Amino acid sequence: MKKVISLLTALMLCLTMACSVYAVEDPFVPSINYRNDALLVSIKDDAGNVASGLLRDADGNIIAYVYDSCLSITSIAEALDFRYAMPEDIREELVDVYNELNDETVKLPYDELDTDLRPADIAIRELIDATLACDDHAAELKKEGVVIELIFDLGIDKDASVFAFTYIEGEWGTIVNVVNNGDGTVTCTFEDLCPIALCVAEQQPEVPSWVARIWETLSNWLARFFR
Amino acid sequence: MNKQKPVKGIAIFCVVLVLVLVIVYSGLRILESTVFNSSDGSSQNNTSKTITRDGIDYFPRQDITVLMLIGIDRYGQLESSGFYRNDSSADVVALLIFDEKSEQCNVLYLNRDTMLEMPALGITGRRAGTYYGQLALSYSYGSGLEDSAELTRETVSNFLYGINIDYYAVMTMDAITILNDAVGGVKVNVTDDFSEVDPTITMGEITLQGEQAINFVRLRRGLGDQLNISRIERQKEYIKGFVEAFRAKKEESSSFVLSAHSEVSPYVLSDCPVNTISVLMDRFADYELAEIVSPEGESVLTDFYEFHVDEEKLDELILRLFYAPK
Repeated sequence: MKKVISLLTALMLCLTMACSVYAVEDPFVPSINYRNDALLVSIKDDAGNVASGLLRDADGNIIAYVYDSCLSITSIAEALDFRYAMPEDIREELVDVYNELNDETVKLPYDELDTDLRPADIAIRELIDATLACDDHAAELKKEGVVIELIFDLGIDKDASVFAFTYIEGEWGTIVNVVNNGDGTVTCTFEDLCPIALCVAEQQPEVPSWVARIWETLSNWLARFFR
Repeated sequence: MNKQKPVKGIAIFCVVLVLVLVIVYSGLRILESTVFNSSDGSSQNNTSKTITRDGIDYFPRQDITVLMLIGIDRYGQLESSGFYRNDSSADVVALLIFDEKSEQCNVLYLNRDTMLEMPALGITGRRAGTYYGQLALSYSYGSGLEDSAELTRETVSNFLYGINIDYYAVMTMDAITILNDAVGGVKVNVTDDFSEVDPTITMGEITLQGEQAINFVRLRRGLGDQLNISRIERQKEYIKGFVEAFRAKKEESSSFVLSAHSEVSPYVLSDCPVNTISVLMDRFADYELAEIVSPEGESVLTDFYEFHVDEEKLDELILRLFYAPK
């Protein structure tokens, strides 16, 4: 018995010493912040726990928070780098979609956007796959009107125009609800998760010059004259 | 017959009207491009870059040559990632400013953690807005070769009011060892205790050889306060020592530059052709190393370190190094 107690005491002592060693904070701060890939911004749930996103019903009420273990985000940079382990089906789909966009065999439906920007002004900043790993969340998202809200840190300018598209069943569709939060982050609301293209406009819409305005007036006048 | 005349007249009127409108439109377009584009602020002529401070006009100096050194955090030869991103970052960004008037060389050493706007590339390699982050990340856009170097050049130039950076030279860490040994080792004064990370580097004056040079300029963990700012001071100390060793070696044998160049070239990427390097060497090798300066600012700890420059002091520094009063 004495041996057991002394062994336990020694073990406790070792643990205490080990704890005190780990309790000393390492002042070293690792290298620079590699935030180039679309980084999911964490949010806090009602209890203050860290979450990756949230589900809302059709009225905008929060149904559930989505935690890190239930959401997997893969960037195209990771998918193209075979050092990163990931499900092969995700890698394959993301790389296929990337190749189509890169060689322009498929184009994003910029004409569906409500903007004065020309397609030439818009570039695809990030291509990512977002997958819900938890069945209950996936089932919720399938319900009518339920959406998932995610925030990405793109480090973009507060005045930049940003758009998002999702690739569902072989078709690219526009995400209507995309908000530039002004702090480099973007809030996107999705009805379904799948490959997502996040686009940024290189230029602001061209303001019609005074010549173009005169031309417009003349055209209108001519149209009325010949009518 | 009579009915045809008004139709013909209307047709001629329409054709003339269209022609007049086309001529008027073209004329207005030409007028607009000549009158308005000449005052475009983005113009590259020097007049548009004139800066006024306290009623004094400053213009960009024409008697300086600027070479940007970029040290990237990887070993081995420079290779393309084959993609719009690469996993290298610009750990060292320094501008060598050769002043032909005073025959001096000033070094502007930028903190790699400096927070600034940089051009961002999208997944197909097209420009996709900007990214606000640490200067070091500017190199991680692009394939890791010329395109990345150009993006870092653009980032630094924009940060310094659009100054002209004549040339760049990117080097991996292997280049440091080769160059260090080519000049016969670099003498530095070691003030940090390296015993835990490289016991061969002892306190006080020491001539660094081979891997010691990399450890001296690269390591941070286990050294003093472990901050990047302290490492920058070590890197400045190394540059001073290197310049001295380079001069001494050149006095001894000027041909060593060419032999070192062929050895180091797989680890260096530059837009400066070999013959231009030779000309620059001849012209600038004897210049006195005047000062090594860094913009002042504040390091802020988030998840990582961010360096926020003091804008007012940066303004003074830019004017002093790159501008001259009219």
